[in-house]
Amino acid sequence: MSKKMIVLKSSEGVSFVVEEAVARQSKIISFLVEEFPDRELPLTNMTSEILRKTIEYCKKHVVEDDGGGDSSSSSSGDLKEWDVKFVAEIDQPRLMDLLMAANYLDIPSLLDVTCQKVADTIAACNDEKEIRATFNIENDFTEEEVEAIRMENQYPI
Amino acid sequence: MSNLAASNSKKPRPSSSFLSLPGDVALNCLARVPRCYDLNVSCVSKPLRSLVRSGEINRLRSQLLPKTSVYLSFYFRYRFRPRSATHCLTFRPGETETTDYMPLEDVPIHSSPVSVGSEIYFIGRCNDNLWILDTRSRNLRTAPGMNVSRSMREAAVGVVDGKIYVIGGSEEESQVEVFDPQTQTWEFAGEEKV
Repeated sequence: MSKKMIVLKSSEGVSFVVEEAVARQSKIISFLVEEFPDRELPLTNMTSEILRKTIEYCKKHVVEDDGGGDSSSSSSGDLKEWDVKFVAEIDQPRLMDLLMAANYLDIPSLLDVTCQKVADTIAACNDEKEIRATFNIENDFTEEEVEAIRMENQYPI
Repeated sequence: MSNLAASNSKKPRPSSSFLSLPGDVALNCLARVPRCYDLNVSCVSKPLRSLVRSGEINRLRSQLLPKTSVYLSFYFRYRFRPRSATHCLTFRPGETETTDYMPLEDVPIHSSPVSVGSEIYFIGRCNDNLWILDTRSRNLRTAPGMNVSRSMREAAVGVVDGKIYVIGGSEEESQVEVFDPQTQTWEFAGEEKV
């Protein structure tokens, strides 16, 4: 009955003991635990904070397929709602970190929700200046160039 | 905001730049932004502009977005310009704001548009090429035109079993021409065994 646990270590050296089934949602971890069982996995480019967030997500999304009838399995509607809340509570810098983590660990569903949140944030910006400020992007256009881009995309009417 | 961040006693960190994301992840984000905001994104910086203009983003979008879009093509007669030009607007379910606009200036006016799969075929008169718009990549390409000279205002165009049939519109004895998108060739329907 006892569940297999693995240890994930953050960049600060903090260890997180996680059920293997939870961690295996990451395709990278899934691969690593098969190659190196009984080893703790150092995730040197992930802070404890982001690792904790990632584990929180994976715990919620783990599929209980042992038919134990645990009440922990959520309906897909509930899960979607939970995802929306999950990313809504994260501020911009941490959202980018979480997105990088999802990409690095290869967790497709987390990558989906974080990319979507970034897209929604871009769409909510009023203009290019707001996008630059929100996403810390340097402007490498001159004002004339921006004007030219706006002109060439104008409706002909 | 967070105890953990505070314990590190680092100064508040600005957001990682969007441009530090790996290219495929940046595209994954941008493809989810409705097209009506493409202009805003294009004006942000040069790298973002080239991502929004890439063929790759269109391919991603066609996987992510609802398959059903309505394309409205029209030609517009400019008052002070020598020639009219064709344009195309896209309407997508769920997007209420400005629609996606594509200039199709090379497509001859008065051509008849029909769609087969994800492509739109603009069928012009005999001497005109057949223009094909791939709605996924937004690329416009040409194929040979029909053999018979027809007035496309009078001809009837239809798609049956994935092939384009053109009937009428010519002075000559009525000949039905069929375009097969698989082989990209025209044939006379009479030559086929029915």
